[in-house]
Amino acid sequence: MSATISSLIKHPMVFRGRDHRHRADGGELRLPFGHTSLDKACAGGVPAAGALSVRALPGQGEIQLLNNILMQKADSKKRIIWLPNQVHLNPNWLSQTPYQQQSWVLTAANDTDALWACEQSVRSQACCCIVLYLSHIVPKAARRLQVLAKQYDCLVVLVHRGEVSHGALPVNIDMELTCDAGQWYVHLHRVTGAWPQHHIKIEHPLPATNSAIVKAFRQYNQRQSTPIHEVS
Amino acid sequence: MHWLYLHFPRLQLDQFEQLHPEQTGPTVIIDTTSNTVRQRSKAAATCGIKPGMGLAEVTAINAQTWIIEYSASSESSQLEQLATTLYHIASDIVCVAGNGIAINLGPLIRYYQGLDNFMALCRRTLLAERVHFHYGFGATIDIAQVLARSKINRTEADPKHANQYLSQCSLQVSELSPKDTEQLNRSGIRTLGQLIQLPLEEIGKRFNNEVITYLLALKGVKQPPYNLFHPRKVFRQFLELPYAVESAPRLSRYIAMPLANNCQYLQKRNLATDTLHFDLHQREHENIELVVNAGTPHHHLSEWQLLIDLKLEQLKLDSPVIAIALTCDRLVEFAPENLSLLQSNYSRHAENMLLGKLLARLGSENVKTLQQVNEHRLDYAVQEAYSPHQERPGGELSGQQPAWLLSRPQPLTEQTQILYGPERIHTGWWDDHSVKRDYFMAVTPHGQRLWVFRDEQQHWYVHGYFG
Repeated sequence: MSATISSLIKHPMVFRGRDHRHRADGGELRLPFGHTSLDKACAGGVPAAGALSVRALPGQGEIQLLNNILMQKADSKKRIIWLPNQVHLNPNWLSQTPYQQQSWVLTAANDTDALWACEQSVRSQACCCIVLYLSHIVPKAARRLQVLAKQYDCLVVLVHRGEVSHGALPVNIDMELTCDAGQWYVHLHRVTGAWPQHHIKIEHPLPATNSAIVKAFRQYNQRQSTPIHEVS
Repeated sequence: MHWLYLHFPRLQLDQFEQLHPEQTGPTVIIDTTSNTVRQRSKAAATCGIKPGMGLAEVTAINAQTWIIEYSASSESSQLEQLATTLYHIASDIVCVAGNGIAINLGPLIRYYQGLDNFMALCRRTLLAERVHFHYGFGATIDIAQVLARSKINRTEADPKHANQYLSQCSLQVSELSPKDTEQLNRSGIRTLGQLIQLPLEEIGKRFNNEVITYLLALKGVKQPPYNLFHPRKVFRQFLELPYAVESAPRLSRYIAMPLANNCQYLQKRNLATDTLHFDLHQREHENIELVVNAGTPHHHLSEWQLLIDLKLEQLKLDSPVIAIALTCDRLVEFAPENLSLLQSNYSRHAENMLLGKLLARLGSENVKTLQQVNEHRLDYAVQEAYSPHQERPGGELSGQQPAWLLSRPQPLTEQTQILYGPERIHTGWWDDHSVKRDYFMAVTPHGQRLWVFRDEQQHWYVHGYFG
């Protein structure tokens, strides 16, 4: 429906009371990651409708990076679709998130079925976000999802290894997450509304570490031995 | 009483032409019991093929003739479907064996303020159904039937005028048995006019009571008892396929017809359904029961067609399908949501439509909602899932857990650095799946965050990833 009324709402004499896709100044609504440097490089964040490509290995903390965006999308109360590839979404982890009640987890036998399910979810207008894990994605499929997602006001997050893709994918943001000597970097291969940038440093901590214990032991070892009884 | 009789001389052929509009060659319906032509297409008539011809004669006239086997059950189902359609414009309907429908015009002439008005509506309704028909009027069903079979096709407001046409009709179009017709022909009686003029006492000496009753009906003296048609409370349609279909996706075009009738049936009654049952009759094997579920009750043809196509894509047939039966018996009142035009509100209907599609293509076991599980052994937890809209149990949370779990723990083969742990899980001693593991969070040189554990034998495994 959004597409069919788009020509109507562009008319200068028509005021659309509550347009969630556009800011008051007419610019595209963007959802910030919550990392200052990254948001600045992305011209404010991820466009609320369209496709976002994340090149990352499984377990590089890609969901942690997207968590802020997912939380903002979840406000619409529409469904969030998870399409994992060869792994299972941990029910206990999902239950800790605020969007658990909105989430549907789909298991597709292959990439074709996964893309079909993603496309149907976008077209249904019942979903605000689709997180799709693929072994690889070709630019044509990415472009198709980008156009559909934009048309139906949905955010499609494509997580893939990025080995096959040569050059940037035709999506709103094509980013890569890498780690070098404990420092996390984001490389932006393509950003709508901004120039590509590389080596953007981000803080990307683990959910838990032993650092407190290690620190405590270190302090204990450095402390000088004191006699229990002092005799003056 | 004033009756309209609608005669449908080629119901099965009409259905075939609807299913295969591209087929314009000569086509005949063959009655396999007598091996003779029962119905013929226009192209077949042009070739010179006539009803009653044998199969050999037909093939001799035109070897390219399409031959379809006659199915009485399919025609009967079609007739019932037509009666259901006509029930929307007429109340007193009688389904007559031999492809006919009789309608009592008495109340309708008053209701529609004239016979012409009703006939125009009736003609339009039947043309929309794309069936060939002839009609006749009479004081009894039998008079109207004879006139319809004689293809009189004249609208008569006064039933008395029907008798003029009736007297010219031949005995062949009457309901008299072939034996009685032959006997009358030998006596020199060839038209119904001649038969009606004979005294009943004389006829009674030579023929049985059934002939007398029939003649009384033809004279308009007494209408034999009849059963009025009442539409079924559930939808059911049987369709004999013109050809045996070997591949399931090719059934889609045949299913479309009963499906369209079903959706129309539901729409006109403001009903909806979330389940359709198809019985696929296989030629050499047991029937296949195909159940198609939608996420929400509805009556939208395109949505149902999509779901059925998705189901058919996955269906494997043991042998070719020769007939289809559609039953729709789970009916609920259709209650659509009120949707706003300019706001993109959360729509339960859109969600349910999506759910139906996903269930049809991916299967119910592959569309889940997840809920916290009361199980520390997450190897089992990944197998527990719940269908959307299903009641779920609650549970307690345990430890630091990753977003992604592997179906089965895999041996740890790469170098890692442990950053957190251990968290010991020692459980399941009460069943055969005792587990004693020390879980750690480890990082690879590429930054992958692994959930690893060490078992009692000091072997290391990867169990999941922190996304």
